[in-house]
Amino acid sequence: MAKGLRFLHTADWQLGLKLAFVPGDAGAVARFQRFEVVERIASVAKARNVDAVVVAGDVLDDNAIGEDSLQRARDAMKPFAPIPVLLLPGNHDAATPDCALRRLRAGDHVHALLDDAPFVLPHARFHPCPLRQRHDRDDPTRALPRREATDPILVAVAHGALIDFTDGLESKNLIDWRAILAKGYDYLALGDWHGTLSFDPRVWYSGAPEATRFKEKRPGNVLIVEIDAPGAVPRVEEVPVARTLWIERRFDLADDAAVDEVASFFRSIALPSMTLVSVELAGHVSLGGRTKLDDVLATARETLMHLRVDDGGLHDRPSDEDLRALAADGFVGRAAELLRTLGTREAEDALRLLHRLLLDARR
Amino acid sequence: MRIVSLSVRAWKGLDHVELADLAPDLNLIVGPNESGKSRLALALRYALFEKYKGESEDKKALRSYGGAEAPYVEVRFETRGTTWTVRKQFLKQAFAKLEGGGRTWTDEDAETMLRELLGTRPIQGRRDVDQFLGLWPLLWVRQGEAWNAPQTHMNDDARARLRDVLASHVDEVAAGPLGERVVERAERERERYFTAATGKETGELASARARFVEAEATLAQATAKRAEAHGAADELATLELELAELDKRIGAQRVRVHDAKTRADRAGEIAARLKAQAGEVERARMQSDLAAAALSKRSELSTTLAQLAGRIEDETTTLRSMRTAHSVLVTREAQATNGAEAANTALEAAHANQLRARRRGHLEEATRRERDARDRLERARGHETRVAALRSQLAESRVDETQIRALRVASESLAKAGAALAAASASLRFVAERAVVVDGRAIAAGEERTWTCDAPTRIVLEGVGALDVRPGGGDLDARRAKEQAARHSMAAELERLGVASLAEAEERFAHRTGLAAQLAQAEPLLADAAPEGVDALEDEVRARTTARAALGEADAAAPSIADTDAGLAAATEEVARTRAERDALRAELVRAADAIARVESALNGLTLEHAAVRARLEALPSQEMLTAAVDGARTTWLEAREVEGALAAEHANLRLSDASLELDQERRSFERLESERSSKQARRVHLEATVRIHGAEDLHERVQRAEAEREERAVTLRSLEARALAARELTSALHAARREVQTRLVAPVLERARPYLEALLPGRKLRMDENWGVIGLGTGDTEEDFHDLSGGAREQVSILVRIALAEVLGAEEPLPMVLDDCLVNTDRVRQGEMMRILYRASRRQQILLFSCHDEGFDRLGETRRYELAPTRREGVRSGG
Repeated sequence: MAKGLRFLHTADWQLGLKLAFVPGDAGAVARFQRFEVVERIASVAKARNVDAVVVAGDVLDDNAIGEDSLQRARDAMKPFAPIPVLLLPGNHDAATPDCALRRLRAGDHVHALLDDAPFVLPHARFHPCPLRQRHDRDDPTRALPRREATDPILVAVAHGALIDFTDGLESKNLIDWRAILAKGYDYLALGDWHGTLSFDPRVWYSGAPEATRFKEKRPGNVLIVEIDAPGAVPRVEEVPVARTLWIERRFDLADDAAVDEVASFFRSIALPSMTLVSVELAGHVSLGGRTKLDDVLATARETLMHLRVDDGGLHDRPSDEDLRALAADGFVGRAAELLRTLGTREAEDALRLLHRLLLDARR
Repeated sequence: MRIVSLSVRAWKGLDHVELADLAPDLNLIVGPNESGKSRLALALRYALFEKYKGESEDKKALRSYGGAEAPYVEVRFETRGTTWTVRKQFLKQAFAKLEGGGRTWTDEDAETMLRELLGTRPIQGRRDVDQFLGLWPLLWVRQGEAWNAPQTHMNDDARARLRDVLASHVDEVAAGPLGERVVERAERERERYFTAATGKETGELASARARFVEAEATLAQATAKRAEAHGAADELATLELELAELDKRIGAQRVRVHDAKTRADRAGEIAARLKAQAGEVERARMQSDLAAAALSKRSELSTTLAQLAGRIEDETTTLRSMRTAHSVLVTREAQATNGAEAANTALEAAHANQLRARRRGHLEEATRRERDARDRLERARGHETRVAALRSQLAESRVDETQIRALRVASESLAKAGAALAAASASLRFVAERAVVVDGRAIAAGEERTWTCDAPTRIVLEGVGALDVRPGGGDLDARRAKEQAARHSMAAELERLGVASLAEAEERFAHRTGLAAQLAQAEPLLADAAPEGVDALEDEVRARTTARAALGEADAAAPSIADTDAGLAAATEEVARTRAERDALRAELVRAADAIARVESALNGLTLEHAAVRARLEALPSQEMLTAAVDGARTTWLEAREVEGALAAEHANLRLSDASLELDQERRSFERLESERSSKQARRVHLEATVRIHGAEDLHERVQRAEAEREERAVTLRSLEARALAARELTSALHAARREVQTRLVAPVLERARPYLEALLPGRKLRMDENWGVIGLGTGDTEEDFHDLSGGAREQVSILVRIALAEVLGAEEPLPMVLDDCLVNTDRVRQGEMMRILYRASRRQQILLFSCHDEGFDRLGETRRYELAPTRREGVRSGG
C-alpha cells in the first residue's frame, strides 16, 4: 500500500485464561481456543497483507502466568512473522517489573511496548500508551505528543475505558479520546472493552477475539484498519474470528408447555460443542414438568460446551396429577400439605423428594 | 372377647384348679400367698400365647415338683360371636387343640388359628416376649409390674392397633405401612447427610463440605500468593519511581549542604573578630568605670561632710530645748507630790465618818428585831389561849360521831318497827247515808269517817249494831313487840347521851362539829406564830434585848451610811488621781533625762565622724583632675563599641548566627536521604529477586486451577446441600405431621381416662405423648413426671390408663383385662376409689382381678369371687 497504512487491530486476548468454570474436556477445548484464535488472527493478517498487528492491551491474562502458557503464546504468535506484532501492556499484564511480556520473547517480529517509545514504520508511527501500574488512575494517553507538520500517519494505542463510559469496564484509567484526536492522531486503537465498539470513525475498540464472559456484547472480531494518508478518515472492517459462541437466555415458564420451548432452544443451537449457554429460569412448573425440565437440562449439559443454569426464580407448582400422587393417607398427606404451604426452596425440594418416595413406595 | 373358664392340671404344683363360669364383668380371685393366683394368670398366658412345643427352661418350670404328669391348661373363651376352647399340654406328649364353631384345629394349626384370633405373633426366643403378644401385655398386668408406665408394655403392634382404631374414631385416615415406608425412606435419605443423633452433617455431604472448604483454602492461598507477587511487582514499580525521585532530591540536597558550609565558614571568621572586639570594649568600659567611680566617691564624701555639719548644729539646738523642758518638769513633779499627800489626809477622815455611820445602822437594826420578836410573842400567846378554850369545850361535848350514829340507827329501827305495826293495822272508812251515832258520836248524812285499827276494836253504831275489827291476824302481836323493843332501845340511847330526843342529840353533835372546825383553824395559827413553841419565842425576845443593849447608846450626830459612802468614794478617787499625776510626771522626768543623754551621745559621734570624713576627702585628687580622667575613658569605650556593633550587624545581616546549625541540619537531611536510598535500593534488590522467583511459579495458573476446583466442589456441595436440606425438611415435615395426627389420636384416650382420674385424683390432668406414653400428671401450670409419683399413684395411674386404652381398643368387642396383685402399693382410701373404678370399668369389659388381700376387696362388688385355698394342693371354691 503506497504511503498508506493497513493494520490489524485486536485486543484482550488474555492468553492463559483458564475458563475454570468449564470443567472437563469442554474446558480443555475452550482453553485451547484462546490460543488457536491467535493463529486464526495471523491467517487473517497474512491474507489481508497488513503492515502490522496491534494488540491493544491484555495480551496475557496475568503477569503471574506460567511458562507453559507463555510458551503456547510464543507458539501462537510465530505464524505472524514477519509481520510486526505490537503488544501493549493492559491492566491484566501491566508494565510493572513482573510484566510477563518481558518474559515472552516471542521472536523478533513481536514487540512489547513497555514504554512510550513509538514504533515506527515507513509511513506511520504507532504511539503506545502502556499501563505502568495495575491500578493506574491517570489517563495513560496524557503524555502523547502533538502531531508535527512532517509527521506520518499517527496511531495511538491504549488500553482502558473512555471518559464517556460510566461503567462496565475493569479499568479506572479513563481516556480522553477527543484530546487525542485534537492532538492530530489518525486513529486510536483501544482495548479493554470486550465487544467491538466505535465511538468515532477514528476511535475503535476491536473487542476480544474470543469471549471471556456471558455479559460481553459483540465479541469475536478483529478489525482491519486502512488509512490512506495522514488526516484521512480510516476504513475499518470487522472480521469475525471467534470459534466459541456464548449465549445468555432467560425463560419465564408459565406452564409445563414452556419446558418444550426450552428444549427447542437447545435443539436450535448449531454447534453445541463450541457453545456456552447461561440460562435463567423463572416462573412455575409442575413436579412432572420439573422432572422433564431436569431431563432437558441434563441432555443440554451433556452436549454443550458449558451450561450454566440459574433456576432461583423457578418454583414448583404441583399439578392435579402431582397432587393425586401426593394425596397419601394420614400424616403423609398432611406432611405434603405442610410443605406446600411453606413455599421455601427447601420445602419445594422436599415435596419433590416426597413425590418420588411415594411413587417408589407404591411400586 | 370374654374368658369363660380356666382350668389347670399338674400346673406348677397345682394339681387341679378350675375357674369355672367366669362372669362377663368383674371377677375376683383371692387367696393367700402361694395359693396359686399368679400360676393361674401364667396358665392363661401359656394357654393363649405360648407354643405348646419345646422343652425350654420356662416350660420345664411349669412341672410340679415330684409329679410325673405333664402340665395341662384349658381355656374357654368367646370372641367374634363364637365360643372357643383351647387345650394345651406342655413337655411330655405335648399338644395343642382348638375347638370352635364346630371345627377343631390341632397343634401348629391350632396355634396359628389362635394367633389369628388374638392378633399375636409367634414367639421367637425368650427375650422381650411381650413384643410378640400384640396388645395383651398392655391389658394383662403381671404381679409387681402395675407401677410401670403402660408404655413399657406397649409394642408396635399395640400402637398400630391403637392407631387404626383411633384413626377411624377421630375421622383420621391412618397412613398405614405406606406412610411408615415413606418415613423410613425419608429418614434413610436424611441420614445419608445428617447424623440421626445430633443432626450434624455426615457422609458425602460432610466430605463434600470438607473438600469445598479445603478448595477454598487452597484458592485463598493461591490468590494470596498471586496477590503477593502482584504486590511485589507493584511495589517494585513504585520503588523505582521513588528511587528516581530520590536521586533528584539527593542532588538538590548536596547543593544545599555546600551552600550551608560556605555560610558557616564566613560566620566562623566574623565570630572570631567579634569576640576580639568584645574584649576591647570590655577593657575600655572598665577604665571608664574606674574613673567615674573615683569622681563619684569624691562627690559623695563632700556631700556627706556637709550633711554631718548640718546634723551637728541641729542636735546642739535640740539639746538646749530639752534641758529647759526638764527644769519645768522638776517643778511640776514637786507640786503633784503635795497634792497627793493632801488627798491621803481627806481619805482617812472619810473612813472615820463611815465607821460612825455603820455603828448607828447596826443599833437601829437590833432595835427593830427586838420589837418584832415581842409582837410575835404577843400574837402567839393569844392563839394559845383560844386553842386551850376550844379544846376544853370539845372535851366537854358528849355527843360524838359514833354516838350520834348509834342513836340514828336506833331511831331508824324504831321508825321501821312502827311502820311495820302501822302496816298491819286496818283502815275503816264509813260514809253515812243517813244520820247515825257511831261510838257515841253523831255523823250526819253524807259525812264520812275513817278508823285506823291496830288492835281488836269494837265500833258501835247505835241503833244499828256493833262492828268488831281484828286487824293483822296473828302477826300483829309480834310486830308490836318488835316496835316496843325498838322504842326501849331508842330510850336507852337517849338516856345514855343525856338528851330527850334525836333532834337534841343532832343539835349537840352539830355544836361539837363546829368546835372541832374552829380548833382546826386556831391550831395552825398558833403553829405559825410560834413554830418552836411560845417558850422559844420568849427566849428569842430576851436574846434580842441583850444584843441591842450591847450596841450602847445611839449617836444622834452620826452621818448616814449613804453620805459617808459618797465621801469615801470621792476621797479615794482624788487620792488615785493625784498619785497618777505625780507618777506620770516622775516617769516623764526620767524619759527627758534619758533623751538628753542620748542627744549628748549622738552629738559626740557626729563630731568624730565629721572629722574622719574631712580627713578622707582631703586625701583624694582634686575634682578637676578626676573629671578629665572620666571623659577620656568614656571616649575610648564608645569607639570600641562602634567597631563591635558594625561586626555584629554584618553577622546578623548575613544570618550567620544559625549557619552552623543550618549546615548541621542540611548534612543530616542529606544523610537521611542517602540512608533512604540505600534502604530502598536494598528493598529493590529484594523485590527484583521476589519478582523473578514468582515469575517462574505459574501463580496465575495455580489460582485458576484452584478456582476451577473450588467451583466444581461448590457445585457438588450445593447439589448435595439441596438434596440434604430437602431430606431434612421432608423428614421434619413427616414427623411434625405424624405428631400432629398422633396428638389427635391421643385425645380419645385422655377423654376415656379423665373421669377415672378425676374420681381418684381430683384436679389432676393426665399428660400423654403422641405415642400414648404416660408423661405424668399436671395441675394448672405444674407438671409432675410419672416417675416422680409415689409407687401407689404410679400403679393407680397405670391401671387407669390401661383401662382407658382397653376401652378404646375394645370399642367393637370388649377385651378382658387380667390384673395380678396390681394394687399392692395403694392405701385403703385410694383402694376404695380403685374398687369403684374397677367396678365401673367392668360394666364395659371383663376384668379378672387376682389378689391376696381378701378383706381389702370387700367393697369391690364383684360378680364372681374365687377363693384359692392356702395350700398348693387344694381346689377352689367359687361363689357369686
